[in-house]
Amino acid sequence: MVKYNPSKRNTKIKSSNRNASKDLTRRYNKLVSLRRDSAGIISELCNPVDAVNRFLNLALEHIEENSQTRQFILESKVGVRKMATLLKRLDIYARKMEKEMRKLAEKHK
Amino acid sequence: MDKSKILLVNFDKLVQKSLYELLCRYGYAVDSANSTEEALSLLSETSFHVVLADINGSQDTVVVKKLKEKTNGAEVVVLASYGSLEAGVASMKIGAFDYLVRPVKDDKILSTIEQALTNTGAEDNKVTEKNKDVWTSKFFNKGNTHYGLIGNAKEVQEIYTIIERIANTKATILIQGESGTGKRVLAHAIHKNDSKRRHKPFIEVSCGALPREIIESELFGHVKGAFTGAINDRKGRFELANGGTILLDDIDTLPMELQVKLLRVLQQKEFERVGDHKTMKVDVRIIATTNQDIQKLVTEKKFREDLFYRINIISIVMQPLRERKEDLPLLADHFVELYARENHKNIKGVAKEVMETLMRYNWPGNIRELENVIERAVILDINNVINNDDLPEVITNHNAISISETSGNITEKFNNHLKEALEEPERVHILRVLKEVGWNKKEAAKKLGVNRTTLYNKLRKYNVLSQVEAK
Repeated sequence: MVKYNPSKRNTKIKSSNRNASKDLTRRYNKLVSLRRDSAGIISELCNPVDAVNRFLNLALEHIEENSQTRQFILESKVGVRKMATLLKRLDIYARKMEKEMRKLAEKHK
Repeated sequence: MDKSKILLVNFDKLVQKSLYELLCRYGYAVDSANSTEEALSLLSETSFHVVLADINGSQDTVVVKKLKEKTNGAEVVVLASYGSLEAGVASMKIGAFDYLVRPVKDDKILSTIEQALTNTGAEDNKVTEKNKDVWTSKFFNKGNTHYGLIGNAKEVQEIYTIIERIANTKATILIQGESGTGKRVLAHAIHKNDSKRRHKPFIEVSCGALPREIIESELFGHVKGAFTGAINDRKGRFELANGGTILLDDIDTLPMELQVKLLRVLQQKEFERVGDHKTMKVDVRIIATTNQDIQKLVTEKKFREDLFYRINIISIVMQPLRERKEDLPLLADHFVELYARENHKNIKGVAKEVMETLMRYNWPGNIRELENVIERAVILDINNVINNDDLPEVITNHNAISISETSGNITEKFNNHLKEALEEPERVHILRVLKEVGWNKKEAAKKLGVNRTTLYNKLRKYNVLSQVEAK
């Protein structure tokens, strides 16, 4: 017959709590670094995307209608617009991560 | 007009340069500061109407507060990237006029600045549609002006108003006017003023220049094998112009059978490629131009009546230059500046007597002729001031009698047949030669290569004999 040993069980619970806490910390740190990286990428890419788009618009004003250069610029604008959309999505993703981080921080308390 | 002053603060160099170019283009005076300290020092020296500041982090709200304190009534507009939205919102709380999230559309920046200017009470300085051309003609070269139209004449002012009213509508426009009056420039201006279409294609179709056999394929496109030589599918001009504007130049030259097809495009915005059964739908603004009296062509059954009513929704008549001579100095100055820059010449301007000569001339070729005359004068000039020697003889020799007699009524000119139209240059030429030889008819007839009786007959025909006799 196995005797119930409360101290052994407590040790087990403590160890599992410690593991969960470690896991939470690891997840939290991972999210923090992801959030920081994505914010950095957004910030760094926003400037060139914004400026390039504006320069392309200005260039369009200088270029004759129907010219091939105009077509190339219009194509480039499509690309820039895609990049802007990606940045927007990345920002939404970063915000979601921030929410999750807050939830984890609450749990950690 | 004083320009509204805008200060750019803390922007990335590339963004700063792009904003500088954009705002200068719209007639603002732009200054920039690379740091907050520099901005504060500039603000203490000069007054600005609007401050555009970049926000990189939440700590920058302090910068906004500092700027707001120092701006002396100017509005602060914050540009935040996606990553720093909170900073933008926070800056609004401490008094920023608005915040924009980058990447931001140019229209949005411009409209926010205009709103800020209205708030600061500097709306008199803001760039309005009407005064835009005054500065664009000063600042930008050919083809780069937003409107491209230049003029203060009442008729031109009315055209500016029409352009504003028809912006962002789908209305089909008919532009009438003599050759060289700027019909194409006006069509461009309409396209550029349409915020929905300005970044979409502007397709020009010279109906008169396209061979009759291929015009349908050019306009509507064709599929592979539709006719001999159709080795690939090809998009037509209407398809290429989808979302934008199509200009049908000299629409009166369009063959009758195509006029029916065009009518369908106008009514339903639908057509089929040549050799295809699939109906295509397009969203295109149609602008048609003509230098003929199209109503007369309708009565002569040379132009479909239903098509005429369909294109004549908004009709604009471009006045010939001889009927808006008050704009001639403005146009001449614009072309001098343009071609001086293009030819790397330091031309200070046009001599007073040259302007008088230009004002006396009849300008049968309208603004296009004036542009060519000025270009020639700028190239030939050696004194840095354009004088009469730089002008072609046809203009300097032009005299008062020919002016009064050649300036006919526009509608009269429109009604002329080829034979009648050719009579006018003949009359001008005869009078010019007569003047050159001191009104000596014998000498003039010799120079003209006709006998004296023919010359007399011509003078009688043109009702100028008595005037010539009196000389």
